[in-house]
Amino acid sequence: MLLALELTALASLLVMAVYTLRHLLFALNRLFCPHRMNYTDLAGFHLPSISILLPMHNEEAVAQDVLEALLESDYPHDPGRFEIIPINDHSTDRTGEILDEYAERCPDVKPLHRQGGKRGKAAALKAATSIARGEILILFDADYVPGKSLLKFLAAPFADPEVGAVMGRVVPHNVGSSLLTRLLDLERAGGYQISQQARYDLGLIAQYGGTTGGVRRTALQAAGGWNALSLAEDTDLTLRLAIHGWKIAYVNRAECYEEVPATWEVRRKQIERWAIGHTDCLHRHLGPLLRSPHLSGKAKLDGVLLLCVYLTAPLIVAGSMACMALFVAGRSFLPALTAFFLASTCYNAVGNFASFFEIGSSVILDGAHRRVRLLPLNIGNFVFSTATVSMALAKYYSGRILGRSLPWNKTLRYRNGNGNGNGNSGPGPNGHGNGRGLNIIRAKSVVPKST
Amino acid sequence: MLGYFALLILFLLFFSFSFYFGMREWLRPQDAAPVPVDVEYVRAENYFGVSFRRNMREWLKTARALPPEEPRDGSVRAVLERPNGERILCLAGGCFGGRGEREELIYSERDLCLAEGAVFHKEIYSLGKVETGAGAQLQAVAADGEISLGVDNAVSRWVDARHKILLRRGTVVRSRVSSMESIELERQVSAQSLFAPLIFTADYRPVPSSPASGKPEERPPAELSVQAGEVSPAYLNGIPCSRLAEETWLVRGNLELPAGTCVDTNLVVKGTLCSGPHCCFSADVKAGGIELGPSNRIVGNLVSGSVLEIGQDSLVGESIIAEGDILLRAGVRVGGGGRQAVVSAGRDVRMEANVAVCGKIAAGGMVITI
Repeated sequence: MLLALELTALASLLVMAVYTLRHLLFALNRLFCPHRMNYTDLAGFHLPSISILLPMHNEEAVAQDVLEALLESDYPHDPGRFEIIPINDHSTDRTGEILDEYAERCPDVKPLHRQGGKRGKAAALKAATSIARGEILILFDADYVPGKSLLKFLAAPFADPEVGAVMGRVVPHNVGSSLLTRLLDLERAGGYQISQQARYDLGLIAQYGGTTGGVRRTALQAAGGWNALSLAEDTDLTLRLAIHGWKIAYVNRAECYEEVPATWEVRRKQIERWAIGHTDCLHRHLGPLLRSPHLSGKAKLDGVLLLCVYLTAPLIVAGSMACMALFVAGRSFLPALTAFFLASTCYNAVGNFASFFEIGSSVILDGAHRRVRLLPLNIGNFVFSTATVSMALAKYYSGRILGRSLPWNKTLRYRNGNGNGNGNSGPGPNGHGNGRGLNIIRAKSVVPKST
Repeated sequence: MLGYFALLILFLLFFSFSFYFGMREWLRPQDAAPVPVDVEYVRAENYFGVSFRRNMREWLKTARALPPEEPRDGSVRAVLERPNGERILCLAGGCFGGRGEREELIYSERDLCLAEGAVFHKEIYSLGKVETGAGAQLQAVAADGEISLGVDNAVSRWVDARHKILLRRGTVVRSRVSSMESIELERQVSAQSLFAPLIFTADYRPVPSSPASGKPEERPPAELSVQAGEVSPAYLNGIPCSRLAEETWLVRGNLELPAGTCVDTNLVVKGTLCSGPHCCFSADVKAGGIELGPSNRIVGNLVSGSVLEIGQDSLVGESIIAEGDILLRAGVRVGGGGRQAVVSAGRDVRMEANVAVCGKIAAGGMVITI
């Protein structure tokens, strides 16, 4: 029994040390090494035909904002080159009516109404892809507010015939809503500014995030299309594209505002869905990933670490409990215990959930120095994530054993004009969102102009 | 035991100290605004010139006129002073500057010529043409007419003209050169990036597609299209390869294409791609390194993971991008027929004589004519 506890603690130590090194490497690479292939020069010059897919389920509060933002885009609105396909996925509110209103006014907007069939983002995308005409499919979630030139930046990397998907950077706009949104803002900055960029620069697997990104239609078809059964269709597609030899380009310059969860309950559901979907991908893609002839050894190693990332949460819990049990049992396990806590500290400092070092580096690169003071509070986010992921995985594995499938949960939107997270956003006086949210986001995004 | 408690208290003190700042930032936030993303941003390739012209017009309205205290150069019509103390010399046009150094912004209402060896530490804006003598040193120059920079000029920042730009031998521009018409580069010119509907190097011989217009024009893309009979499916025989997608082949290793080969799909080569003369590519091409022979035709984009060399008299329909150096041999044409393209290198772009690019050339290092 004691041997098992010792092995658990040591295994945790080893795994955390590996993740620690991985994230340390990412941060150092991002800070001190040059970028790889830069496609941003091509923005505005390489203009393939694009179809913008917008999955929507009860999105009356935000539907108008994202449509208005896309219609104001400076991407050429030629009929054969540009179309917007908002997908009304089993909505019970006014989403469908809003989309029809836009379709009447704007020939570029071609809504797809789904009232039957399987619900969920992947199923909606699958249906929309079958009617889309663009060679590139660009995806946004309904709460996103793309800037005027974002589409050009996302389309540019597809000049490279090896690029199967492109991912842009996501930036929270409702930062001031709550402590959680501020912590998530830090986490996003570390995740995109450092981790995604470094993975792309190092020739590893940059992750296609399912929004603020695009996928080449032929690559999608070659990789088997959207997996409607997956709760994490983005990770699923990332892995399938990489396994089939496609590259995923990350464009840090392609920034887009999003809304992050403002309450811990919404966050819990989001993490739960990610953890289950991601771990499900682990079981489906680990073997093909290791056997793929298209991936280098380092890419495979990073792919394994990427797939296993949510398993570290229960491992940390198990390691901590093992150490405590050993301590209470009077077992002299001081070196391992010390090492465990040292590694744990390192993990919190540079690891995945509270990647302090990455966040610190991203804050420097973003020039937002004061928010770095919140870093110690991220320990709360880390503990919350660890507990939530552990419980989610327990649910997932028990579901697998009992043959239960888990439902897809949509993340609640909080936009109500002031972005303070006081509650779910409601329709405007005209019965739907009236663009106030869009204007407020624009006001927030005022950037000092240089001469 | 006492020591243990002292250490514990010390530890807790330091531990709580780090949380103090976090709690303070949480409860009294000083930095809770989103990371700024300019959602209104629209890229303008001649941004420097446009922005400076706008600012100059604003400054001319708001700056205060200074009384004539000292004898002025004959062409100086007025001296204005901005609230920050910066001076603007308003010129009627003509020749200006000498061996001395000028610290003022220059605004000229007509054509302006700058003397040989003149040094200007601030920006220049002319409503007419600008012509400089040899060895002039400029900060930046915008003109609503043409710009012609003399031999061995040095520009610390940018050059922008509404009409033609000519950069003579030995001129160096540290940032962007942009024109809404054309940019002519003599030999041994270098710049960080260039943008114009037509950029061409010395000894350029335009295709006489539109002699009536009198303007140089490039070949329309129809001339780049691959004829059906030219397609040779045998070019991958015996080569380790696989299909990435229906229209994309992936080659694991190097690929050497014999003269006259035509590739009818997208092509991705993990190693180096070398082609003989008169090869054609009807879609996009990517390789770890690319060395194309003379008179190749590429309809799509060319992407290289390292260096890229394009042989004499080759035509590229769309953009060229490489992580390393790019070399465009004599007679190479990029873009054209109303379609703008980009040549972008992680390091240097080198161009021989009679090279034309319709669109943009950008380099992590420098764009150099040889």
